[in-house]
Formats: sequence, structure tokens, C-alpha cells
Amino acid sequence: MTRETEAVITGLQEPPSRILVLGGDATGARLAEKLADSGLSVVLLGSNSNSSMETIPDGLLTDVTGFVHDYTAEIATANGLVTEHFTHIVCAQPARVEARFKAYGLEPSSQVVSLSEFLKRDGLNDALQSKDRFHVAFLCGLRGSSRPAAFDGILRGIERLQQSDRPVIFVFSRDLHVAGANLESRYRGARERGAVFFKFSDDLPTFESSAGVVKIHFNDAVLGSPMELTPDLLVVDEEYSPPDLAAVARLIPSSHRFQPFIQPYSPRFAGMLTPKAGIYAIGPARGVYENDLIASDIEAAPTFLRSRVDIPGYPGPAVIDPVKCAACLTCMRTCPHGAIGLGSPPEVHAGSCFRCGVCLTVCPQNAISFRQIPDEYDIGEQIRSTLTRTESASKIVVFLCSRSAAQAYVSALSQLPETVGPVVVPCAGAVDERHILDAFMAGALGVLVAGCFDGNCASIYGTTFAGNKAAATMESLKDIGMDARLVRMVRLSSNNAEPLIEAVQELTRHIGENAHGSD
Amino acid sequence: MDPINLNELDPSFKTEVSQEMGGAGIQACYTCRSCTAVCPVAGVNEHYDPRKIIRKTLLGMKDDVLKDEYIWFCSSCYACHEVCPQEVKFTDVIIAIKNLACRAGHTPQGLSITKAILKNHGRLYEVTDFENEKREKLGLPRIIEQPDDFDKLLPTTEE
Repeated sequence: MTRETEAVITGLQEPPSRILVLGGDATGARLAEKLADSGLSVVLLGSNSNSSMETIPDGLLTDVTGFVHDYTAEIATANGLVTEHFTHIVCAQPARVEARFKAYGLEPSSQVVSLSEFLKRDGLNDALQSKDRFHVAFLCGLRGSSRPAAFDGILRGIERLQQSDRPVIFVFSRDLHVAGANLESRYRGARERGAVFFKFSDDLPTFESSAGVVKIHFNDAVLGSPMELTPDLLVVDEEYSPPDLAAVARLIPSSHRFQPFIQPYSPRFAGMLTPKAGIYAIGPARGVYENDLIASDIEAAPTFLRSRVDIPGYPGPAVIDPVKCAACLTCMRTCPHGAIGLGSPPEVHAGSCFRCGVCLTVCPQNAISFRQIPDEYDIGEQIRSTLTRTESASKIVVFLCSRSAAQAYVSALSQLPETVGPVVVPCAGAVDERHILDAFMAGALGVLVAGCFDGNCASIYGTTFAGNKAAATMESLKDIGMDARLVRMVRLSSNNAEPLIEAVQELTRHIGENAHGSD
Repeated sequence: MDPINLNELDPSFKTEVSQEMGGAGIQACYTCRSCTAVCPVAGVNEHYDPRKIIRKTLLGMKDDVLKDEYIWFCSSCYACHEVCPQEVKFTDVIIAIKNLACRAGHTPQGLSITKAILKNHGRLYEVTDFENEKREKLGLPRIIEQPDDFDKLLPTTEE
């Protein structure tokens, strides 16, 4: 059970909120209204709203600091900088949309227009209005990649043109995506009403411009013949990119890993969640540009905003011992969740700490521990007790990530030998070189570190850290003349224990062979 | 090869075909080539390609399609009909195209000869004394050609 669902079930009281919605178009306004309707207090930045909520239409977020329930935002307005306080921040800015004129070597003109401009126009220009028949060409992802949102726009244009039988419509596509609501059937509908699609892979069309008129030259792969077309109207598709999220991304140390968005590309971050508590991303800020998906983001927003609260009694958060701390700020720079703030010693924000334990391993002074007595994640204590319980001579200590390997271990109990002593860690990233060496000191003959796959880690780079630590430990073992292969990193998911079972078998075999070799 | 100029093609041709009996649905084609892949004729004759015939029709290459002798190569086996993911009934489509070709005066010579034989003999093979003498020896009745029915039927078809 995630902390989010736990909070919903335990029905904790809702703390007072003041939510900053970073908008810029109708999406931001719709989101702000949805949140306000559900009883949350909202300030909308960059957009206007018809409802009575507080808005700063000309405002731009320039800087933000703090933690969930305690964000300080610096906002540039026409009247200068203002400082405001918020509990949560939602990034709902519009995508940046840029027509691919340059990529295709085209110049905008009355013949060559961008898709947005074409859709904005109510009708066709006078020259086309008077023609009995005219040719319209749409370009779709000939360079770069395309989005279902882009194809949706192209289809809207085609559908509008097809209300008359005068236009002859061609689509030149390379990268075309139909993975959106109804797009497949609308694509078929467009063809049935007469639009012809040309598909390309390598041999792309070329555009020849003479006397201000653009002519398209290309090879049709179906007929295998060269073709040419002088369209009366050439509609150029657009590149979608996320809005400028720099001000918010600075709050999340791990965000450099998944820029340009502020949400990691990982199944661990459902809906609008980001690694930083109290910061949310909807639509383009998390790489979603399709209207139907943005609408469902908005629909789900009130639930997400209410679900993340600090849960009393949950292990943690990490605490920093002021005596040991050298104020080197390694923890602050490393925390994947931006949960540690400046200070001497730095402060761990209880509501933002994910209890991953990554900071515990990076602290050069060993000054950080979890605040809970007894600490259920006291790794040293776990190693001692698990080795005491393990009777066999060839003992293997397995560090298990609580989010993946621990579940896999439980499901594979019957298939694992009794030589295996489990040590559950919140994240594989919490396993340090000294823990592995501790295990050997306490009598283990081999050590496995079992964590999530890369990109699947709830603490972004926790599992990468674990891999690095294991590799470093292997080097250390080599240095002191021990067998480096007694330490291994296993990557798995909670629903498949196979890699763990195989690794245990292999390590057991290796220990056995080694023992015979040294006899 | 001279480029095909799309500005000069006839976009109404696809409508003409789709309104002809059997031609409906041709526009759903998304050129996946399933029809050509299963076509037994395309397998032995590279000039016959159902997908190309559809493509030319949709582009409006009317003369190219109607004058093409290969549209007459279809053996009506319905294999393409079975596999089309877009439910283009190509065997019916090609019949529609053949009808349009005849109407435009592009009936292949072979078909005119066949028609003449039907008109004169009431069947596709002339029955001569050779056959009838053999039948007599086997105790079978003589075949008497009755082309009269075709005299009535054939004028309803178009040249």
C-alpha cells in the first residue's frame, strides 16, 4: 500500500491549503476551477478565469523555495516582484508549439501556413474560395517525431475541409501516431471521404520554391513512381515541447535526470505526482499533450492534491545528528526528492522525505539515521539477527528493496534455501559499502543486493546508487585479497522472483566451489 | 520516368468507382499490401498488383486504370477480400472497375470474341459434328445450340 492510499484510508484531516496553479491557457483555468470547486483554495497564475478565484493573469513564477505546505514563490508581475506563500504548486502551463518551417526549409506565406494558424482561421482565403477545385497538402512528422495531438489537429483540419467537395487533400507523413481517443476511426473516415496519405521512411519529399510558389517532389512508395504536387495550401505540422519548468525543477535535485519534464518516466509516479511532495505536473509539464488525457489529469487533480500528507507513525523521516554533521550538504544535493533544506545541520522536511535512505549512505560522517525507535530499518541490527537465525554454514545475506525485492522474496520463500538471510531496506540505494562489509564481518559468505530495474526506482537513482556501491565493494574486496564475486547486484520487479532465485543459486554454487578450491 | 503531376489527376474518379456496384469501400484502403501478398496472380505476374490498382484509382489516374490490360488478370478467387484489414472488397471493386472500363470503350479483344461466341452458339465452345458423333456412339443425345436466349441477354450488356 502506498502512503497515498494509506492516507485516504486512514481519513486524515485535510490541512488548510493554498494552491498555486501555473497556467497560461484554458487548461490552467479549467484545472484551477476544478480545484476551487472541490473546496481547495487556489491562486491561478498566467491565465484569466471566469470564476471568482484569485488570479494573477500577467504573473510569471521566477523562483520558488521550500517544501510542501510551505512554499515561498517569487512572482514577477507588471507591478514588480511579489512574494507569496503556497502549500502546493501545480504546473499546468501550455506546451510550447513550434511550426517546423525551418526543419522543412519552408518560409511561411499565404500558401504555406502552420497547422495552428490554419485551424485558427475561420475560412479559406478569397483566392481559394473562388476555386472549383484546390489542392491542400498536410505535413505530418516528416522530420522529428509527431504526437497524437498533432494528428488530431490535422484531422480537425481535414474534417473541416471535407465539408465541401472542392478540396483535394493529401497528407505527407513519416511519423504519425493514432494512439488517441477516436483517432484511428477518424483517420479511416478521412480516407473514406477522399484524403490520400503518402507515407515515407527515408526517401523524404523535397520542397522546391520558385517565384514564391512551393512545389513538392517525392517518390510514392506504393506506385514506385516520382510524383509532384503544387498545393494551393501547404499546412505545416508542429513540434510540441514542454513549458519552461526551470523555476520548479530547481527544487527537485533528481529532475536533471528526466528533463525537460518534471515527472520521471517511471511507473512509480502515477498521475500527476513528481518526486517532490507538493509539486505536481499535469498535461505538457509531464509530457502529455492530448486533450482527452489532459482532461482526465484535471479530473483526477483534487484527489492527488488531497492524498499526500504526512502520516504519523510511519518510519522516518531521516534525521541528521547535529554533532556529527559537517554541513557538507552532500545529502541536500543527493536527496532525489528535494526533501532536505539548507541549514547547519541541513533540515530534513518530514512531509517531503520518502524514507528511501539514500542520504544515509552518501553522508561521509554517517550522521543521518531514521527517526524511529526501534528503527525497523536499522540495517546493522537486521544483519546480526538474520545471521543468528540462519543456521547453515554457507550464509548469504540478501539486501531487499522494500518496493520490489522484498515482495519477490516473500513469493519465492519456498524456492530459496535456508542459507538466505533477508535484510529489508527501504530502497536498494540505502545499502552502503559498510553494510555489505558488516555482513561479511558478521559471518556472511556472500552478499546479494536486490533492487529495482533502472528507471523503475521510486527514488529515481537509488537503484543506480546500489549498483555503484556493490561495484565499489567488489573493488574493495579485490584490494584486500578476497573474492570480488561474493558480492552481486540483482535487478528485479516485485512480481518476478526468478532473478533472485537464480542469483542465490549461482552465488551458492560459487561459494561451494570456492570453499573446495581453498581446502 | 516522368513524374506524375497530382494537380492534373481526376479526384472524382474514386467517387465514380465507389458509386459503381461493388466499388463501395475502396477508399478505406491504407495501402498495407495484404491483398497483393495473398494474390495468386500477383505471385506469378509482377505486373498485376491489386494495391497499385487501388492507389491509382484513389489518386484519380483514371486513364491509367481503365486502359490497363492487367485489370483483366483478376481470377476472382476472393483471397484479397478475405485478408483486407480495412474490409475493402477488392474482387468486387475490380468488377466495378472492369464495368467502367467497358463503358469507356476499353473492352479487351478476348472478351469481345467470347461475347461473339456466346451470341452465335449460346455457349463458350462451339459444338460441332465431331462432338455429336461421339455422343451418339456413347448413346447420349445430340446437343442443339440455342443461342436465342443470349440474343435477348447480350444487348443488355454494354460494349
